[in-house]
Amino acid sequence: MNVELDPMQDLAISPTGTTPAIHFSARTGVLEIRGESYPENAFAFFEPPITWLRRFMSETDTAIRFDVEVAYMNTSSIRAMVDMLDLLEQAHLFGRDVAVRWLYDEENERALDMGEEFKEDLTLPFEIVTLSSQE
Amino acid sequence: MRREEDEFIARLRSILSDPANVGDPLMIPLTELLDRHLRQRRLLERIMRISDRAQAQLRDVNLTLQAASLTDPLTGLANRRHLVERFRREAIRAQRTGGPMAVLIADVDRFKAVNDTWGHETGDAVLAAIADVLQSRLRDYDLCGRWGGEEFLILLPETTVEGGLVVAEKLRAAVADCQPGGLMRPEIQVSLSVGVAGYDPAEPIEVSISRADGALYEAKTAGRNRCVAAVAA
Repeated sequence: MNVELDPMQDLAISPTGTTPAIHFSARTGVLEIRGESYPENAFAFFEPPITWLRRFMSETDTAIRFDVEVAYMNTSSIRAMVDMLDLLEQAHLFGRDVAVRWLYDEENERALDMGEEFKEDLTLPFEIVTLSSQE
Repeated sequence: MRREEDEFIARLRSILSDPANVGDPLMIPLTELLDRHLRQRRLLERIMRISDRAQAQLRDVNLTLQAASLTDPLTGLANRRHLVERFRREAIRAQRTGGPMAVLIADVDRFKAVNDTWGHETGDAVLAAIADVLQSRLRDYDLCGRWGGEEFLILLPETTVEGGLVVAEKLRAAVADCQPGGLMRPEIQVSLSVGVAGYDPAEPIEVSISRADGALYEAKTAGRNRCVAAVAA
């Protein structure tokens, strides 16, 4: 059966006090999540980006770059993040060009530890990048 | 828990690898179920590990903020909030033990002239230098903090008014002798007026503080650069 799918649109979610900004670009394959993440219902909040990511991976073979700049998050957000990284890891194992950049403020060294913890168990390219606060 | 689970998984594996079970229709879903379970378990452990990190991070931030909320940024001394909290705790302690406690309020004499003559930046440095002098002359258990502008409050647990007056005199002399302008401004001289009061367990701490304030006022009107003890309540 032939199903006609809409062409992929960008995904843009504005930040709130408890949720991060999300921007996924279908054209460039750059996915960005920035801000703090304490949604009351992380499952509902992360469902659109996870669905988008699955679809993007099945419909295109564009290289993916995933930029994460989330210093603080609750446990259910960690779970969603782990799920997304897991999807990317699978894609990487199947030969897709995937790279993750974990961005953190140089004044928050603990965020570096978090990045390293996320990186563990993964084999995809995972770069931890310090952001200078002078910027 | 973990051992029981490991034993269960070992049992499942031996069932799955038993040639007698080949062809059983449950073998394929059972294998898949086991794989899914092991994957979920790894995921759970990963999430817990990261979550532990996140909480350790929050705890650190919390400690940093707590320290910041109790410290005066200019002098590094306790701030007013810290002083009041500690005073309340020590007051409860003094009520219980019946021990004495002295409270000192020290004010830098004619500090406005320092600011006017040398500028606020130097004024700030002078204040920080005086804070260091005061801090270095006290016992670990005493608490010296910035009460406001150029005013310091010093809490001396287990100390009588007489003992407090001795400490006050020592602090006054140390400040009169110091060079708070450092090598850049060795000509800057400052002095300290100090009011001393004894804490009375029958009264709220605010009353002790205001008696120390009254004594400070007396020291100022008597010509500054001196210490005065308030008469007991």
